[in-house]
Amino acid sequence: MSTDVYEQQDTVFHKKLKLQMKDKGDEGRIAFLEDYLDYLLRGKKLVPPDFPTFAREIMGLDERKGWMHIVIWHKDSELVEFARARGYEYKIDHYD
Amino acid sequence: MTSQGFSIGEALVGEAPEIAHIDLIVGSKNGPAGQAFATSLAQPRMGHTPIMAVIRPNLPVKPATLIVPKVTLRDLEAAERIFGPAQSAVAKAVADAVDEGIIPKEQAEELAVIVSVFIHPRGKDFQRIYRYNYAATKLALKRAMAGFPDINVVLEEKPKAAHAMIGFRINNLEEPPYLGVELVHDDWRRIEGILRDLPRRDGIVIKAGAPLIKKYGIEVCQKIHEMRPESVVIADMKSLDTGNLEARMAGDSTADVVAFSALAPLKTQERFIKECRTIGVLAYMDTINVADPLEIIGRLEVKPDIVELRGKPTADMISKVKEACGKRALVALAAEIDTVGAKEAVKSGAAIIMVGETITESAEINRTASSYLEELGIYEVDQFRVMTDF
Repeated sequence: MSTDVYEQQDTVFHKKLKLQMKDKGDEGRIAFLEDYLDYLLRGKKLVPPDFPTFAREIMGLDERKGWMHIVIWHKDSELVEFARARGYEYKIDHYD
Repeated sequence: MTSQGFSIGEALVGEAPEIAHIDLIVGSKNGPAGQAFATSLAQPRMGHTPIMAVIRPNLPVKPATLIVPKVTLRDLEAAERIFGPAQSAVAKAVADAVDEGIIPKEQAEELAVIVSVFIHPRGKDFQRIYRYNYAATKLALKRAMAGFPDINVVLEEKPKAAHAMIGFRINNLEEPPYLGVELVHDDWRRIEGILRDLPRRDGIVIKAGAPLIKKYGIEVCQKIHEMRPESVVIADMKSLDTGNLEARMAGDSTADVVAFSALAPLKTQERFIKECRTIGVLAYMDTINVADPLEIIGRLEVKPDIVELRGKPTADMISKVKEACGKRALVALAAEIDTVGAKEAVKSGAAIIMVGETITESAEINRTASSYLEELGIYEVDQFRVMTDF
């Protein structure tokens, strides 16, 4: 089960969403992006304006001990809502 | 009243999915209401067959009442709901309206009533359908006979009204002052964090800054509205040419207010403002790098709805701008001023205090924005009243 290790801190500081892909490699990342789009479209949500950038970011991110580190600015960002809704292992932490 | 034409009543009662929405007209059989009654009865349309309201079989109510289904009846189940509990409720409500003096008894023969009835296809509970439609019909009749609403009530309520189904109100900036928060970042996830941190108050106006729009396109306004449907969104297009096209693009992307540059050629500015009027958004003049905004405004054939001034304009300057633009025009002040300065600016006549990094770079965005709202006395339009029926 996923856990939030987020603690209330000043909102000016960004956070990192540590997230595990369900499958390994590029295929796992593509499946993740497909799943995110599926979540948005089925939920009748608009695709975030930075989606092209986000897709490039996901495909290029290093994997750190099985976790992808994604920069977010709010503990309830749309990405976190998605991770919760679709059962991804995740945790939220402050940036290094 | 009814001898000269007809009266109109409307009422919404109950809870989904059985919620009752009644629109009706009451008028003389010898006037347009009577004519519509006869025409409708004689020319039924598929799925919208009108029926007479009856107290029981073979006993039609008086005044004669015709029920017209709003939703197309596609099967017997839908027909049962409207011709059963709904029509019975309407008939009882009309009869009770006579009994209670809402409709004068002596006019029962002279009048005709046409009742448009809405029943949601998912509404199944006959008890609720009956009770809601009874209450809604009687309320609509009472309103029709009383000429409700008074036009002053309409004008008073229009900036406060939120439709139950859309969940937000169209805000035309009619209740200043407002706190404007300018988003100048070019990182969507940063913007998302700011939007989520800001207090959920419709007294906050969001300005999508030019860098944000240039990076992601004008449709970013729609995403902002998705996250904050209660907020007015200003698209800072800073249009310098193709004014009408850019105004339309922003309007299509749900921006409520669209900004153009006062440096643009006058014809461009006028086309921009006219296009804003056409599509129902407010035209916002950005006076950055303009030495004398009043001179530009004076030369425009059509005036902007909002003028953004920079620096520390005097009360006299603000007053002159409003005078030049018309009594409904607003002045926005773009300056990184503190809460005390903001309060002084409002006293000088500014309607929107536009603040950027003072809020968005603050360690505690919510608290900082709240302190401005508090200092400016900005409250929710419904904060101090309990919304009840009329």
